[in-house]
Amino acid sequence: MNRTIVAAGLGLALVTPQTAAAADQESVKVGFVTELTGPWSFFGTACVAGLKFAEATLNPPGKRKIEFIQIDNQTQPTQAVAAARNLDIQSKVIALSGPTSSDTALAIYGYAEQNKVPFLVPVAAFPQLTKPGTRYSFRIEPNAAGWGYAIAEFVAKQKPGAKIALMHSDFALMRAISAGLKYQAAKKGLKIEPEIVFPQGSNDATVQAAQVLAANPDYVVVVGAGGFDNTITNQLLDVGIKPEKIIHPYGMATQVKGWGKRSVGSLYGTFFDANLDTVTAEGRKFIDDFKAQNKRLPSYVENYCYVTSQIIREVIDADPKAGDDREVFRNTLSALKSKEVTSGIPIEFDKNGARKEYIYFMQIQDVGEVEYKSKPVFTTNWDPEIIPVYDLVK
Amino acid sequence: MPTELVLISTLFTGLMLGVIFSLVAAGVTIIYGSIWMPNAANGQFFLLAALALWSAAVSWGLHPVVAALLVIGASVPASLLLEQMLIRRFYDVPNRNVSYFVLSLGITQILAGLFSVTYGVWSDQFQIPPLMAGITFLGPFPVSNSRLAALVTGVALLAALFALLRYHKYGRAIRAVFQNRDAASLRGVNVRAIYRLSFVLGNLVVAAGGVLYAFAYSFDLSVSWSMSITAFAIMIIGGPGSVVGAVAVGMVFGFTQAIVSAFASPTVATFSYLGAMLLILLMKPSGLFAR
Amino acid sequence: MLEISGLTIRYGAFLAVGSLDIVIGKGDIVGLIGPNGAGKTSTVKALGGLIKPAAGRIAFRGRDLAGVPAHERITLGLSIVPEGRGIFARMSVEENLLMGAYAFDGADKAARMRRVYDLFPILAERRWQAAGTMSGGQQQMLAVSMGLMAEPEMIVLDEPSLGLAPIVIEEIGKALIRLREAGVTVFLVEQNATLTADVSDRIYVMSNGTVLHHGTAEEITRNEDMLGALL
Repeated sequence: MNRTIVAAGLGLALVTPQTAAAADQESVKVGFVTELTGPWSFFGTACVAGLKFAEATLNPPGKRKIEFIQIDNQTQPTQAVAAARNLDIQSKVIALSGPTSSDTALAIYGYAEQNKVPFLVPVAAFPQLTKPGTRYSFRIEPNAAGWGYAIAEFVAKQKPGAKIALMHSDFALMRAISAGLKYQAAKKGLKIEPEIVFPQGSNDATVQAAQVLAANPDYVVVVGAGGFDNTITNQLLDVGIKPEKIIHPYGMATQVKGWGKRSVGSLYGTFFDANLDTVTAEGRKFIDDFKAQNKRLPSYVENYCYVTSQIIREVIDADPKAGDDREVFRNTLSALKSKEVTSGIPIEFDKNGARKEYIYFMQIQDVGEVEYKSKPVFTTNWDPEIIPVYDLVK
Repeated sequence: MPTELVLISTLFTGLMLGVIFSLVAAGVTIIYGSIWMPNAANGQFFLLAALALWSAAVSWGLHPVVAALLVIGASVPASLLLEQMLIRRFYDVPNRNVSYFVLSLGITQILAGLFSVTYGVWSDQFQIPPLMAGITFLGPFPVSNSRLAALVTGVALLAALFALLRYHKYGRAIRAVFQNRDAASLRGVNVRAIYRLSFVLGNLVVAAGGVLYAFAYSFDLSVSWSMSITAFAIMIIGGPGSVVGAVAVGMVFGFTQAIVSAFASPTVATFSYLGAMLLILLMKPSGLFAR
Repeated sequence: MLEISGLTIRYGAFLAVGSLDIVIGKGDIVGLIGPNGAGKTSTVKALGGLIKPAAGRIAFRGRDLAGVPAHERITLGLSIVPEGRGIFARMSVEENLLMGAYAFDGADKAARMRRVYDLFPILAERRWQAAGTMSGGQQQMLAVSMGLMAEPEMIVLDEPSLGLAPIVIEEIGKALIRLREAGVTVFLVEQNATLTADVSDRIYVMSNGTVLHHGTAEEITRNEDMLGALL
């Protein structure tokens, strides 16, 4: 790894007091509780894959060593809390991180806030993770209601007064997206019709696809849970909905591959994509190394876990006491003003630990076995409380 | 034209889901009817078939049809092995349905855990390459040929299952064992051999259901739970041990889901199942086609 | 044809049959009568291999049945029509008859079916009807017919008259006599002493798991006091 690039990427706000003593100190332990097994493991393992690349450059000589202790939470909130407690009491970690699902993240959130353990959430979009009064939890991923807000902004710009068909699974994440979308759509004079909610465990959307086709909307916002996402998408395309009309609120590389070539023209939201021009040199290297090893491109999940490692490094470097004192760690993190080394996007947290939020909407251009091509068609950023997210989604 | 579109798509969905539900419930009820095993692991077996198909067709790159035949074929030795190792040990236990239920819950846990640590990583990627390209228009409603093929195959399998049970010597023996195992034994039926045959046949039908489901829909690991509950509900409403009941109620479930989700909402459709189940059980606690 | 010696059947501590001896020759019609709980049905079950006797020997055509599983006994020529008829209620009459010949792959089933239809013409009329929906008498005729589909050396009938009207019982009795004419050995296990006496050559009287009396039908029916007390 090219050290100058790392330094440039890390650089900026950091004036690090590097002494020989720092390297000799006991390593700083960070608990990384994530979904290595269970229904959300495709997210958790993607995250860990991203983290692994960051760890390669995490501990340059002369700096205090940071050590991630990974624990599988089996995608179960109770397991997540048990792991958090263990890491807090037994391993005496300085901070917790790792979850990629809102359920496990919320479980650890409760523990972290109560026991004053700094908690850096890489990937979990449920708004309440940064509700007012939050002190120890910080979140890197923008909140899901905000994505909905951004979709409305995008559609309003493409076609004022447009009609949007909304199809989503009945999960907290999807409910949050639609709450944000509906709120902002009303303000922008967009029409949401029809809105079709699929209960958990749904398997078929043929009829609903036909209904959407019959309603002839300008856009179809579609998000299904797990394998159902591909089913809805396929069935929409089967009945003859044009791919250009389909908006997926979020898309990872594996999802884009699942939607396949027939989805060329469709849109998806993301926070990091190999096809973005804004990717830094370090980000590009990350993408290439990741692709070589995993036979696919990394997406925002991998990136956020990579960035998690960067943020912790910066906090420890910014104040040496942060490695030993959770309060100092928390305060340093809260005051941090930095940029993602991979994308150059600013990292800054508000008083509740929410980030200055942003999204890219990408249009799929080609889908291959390993890579896919897409181009950004819209980007926006917003203050987390530009819409009343914490009231919209309880 | 839009009404017609929604109508035909509703009929198609009802048939597609109905055929899959019927197959799985028939498999479950065959095993229950003969060996009194309420197999709670049926959803995991269903998922296992779908996952195995995915591995064979996507990871190994086999032709989907070859992969499907391989998976359904492999269910036979797998069932025989399980029967030999575990299932037959309970054949002489008087209240074995309780033992079997607990046993199958254990199998469920083990398989769910195994899937979680092995396949969980690809949980959002389970899609089988289409059986064939192109679409066919049913009136104004376009259906991918692949799904149409899955539907036709499913109907053919159900017909074959019926023919086997009605006209084949062994099929008749299975039904004889369902109805009166001592009498069957006196007529020369090797009841234990029929138990084994039923276990293999039931699982084969469940596996076929899983394979067809995987061709018709994308899936993930959670499908095992919803299928397991659905198959049990169908078996209970249809009357445990009644294949006719399983198929009839399976079809009703498929059409209920399609119609209610079209004219109310998919969420209401889920509740309408449970409502229908409770109502029917209130009126006929032993199930519609109970003996 | 059939030799039962020292047959003992236990259900846990309960002794159902204690050291039973019965001998049936070829072509005989032998009756076994006794009150409820005498051990008759247990004896039939042991003949069929459905329960394992605690002791004793059952030999059929000179062969010890101890190692012969239930489903193989019918191929030796021993056809048992169990108590409660043993028909398959949700199958048609014809399917039931096919089940009767289940163990005989090479047999001319159509010919066998014609023969039982000759014996009970009503069954031919009802051949497509579900067995469970027929009257009790018709069901019993079907049960006997199923037993005959095996073209057995010996047929064992457990309580064929149970729950039937006298006129139907009479018809069953006539059929049994025709069987004897055809050379089939019949073992009739009954509570109905009249029917048994009408058709049997010899009768065993059983009570509390053992044989009390054994003699020709005339000898047994003459001893009406004993029968009255028993049945």
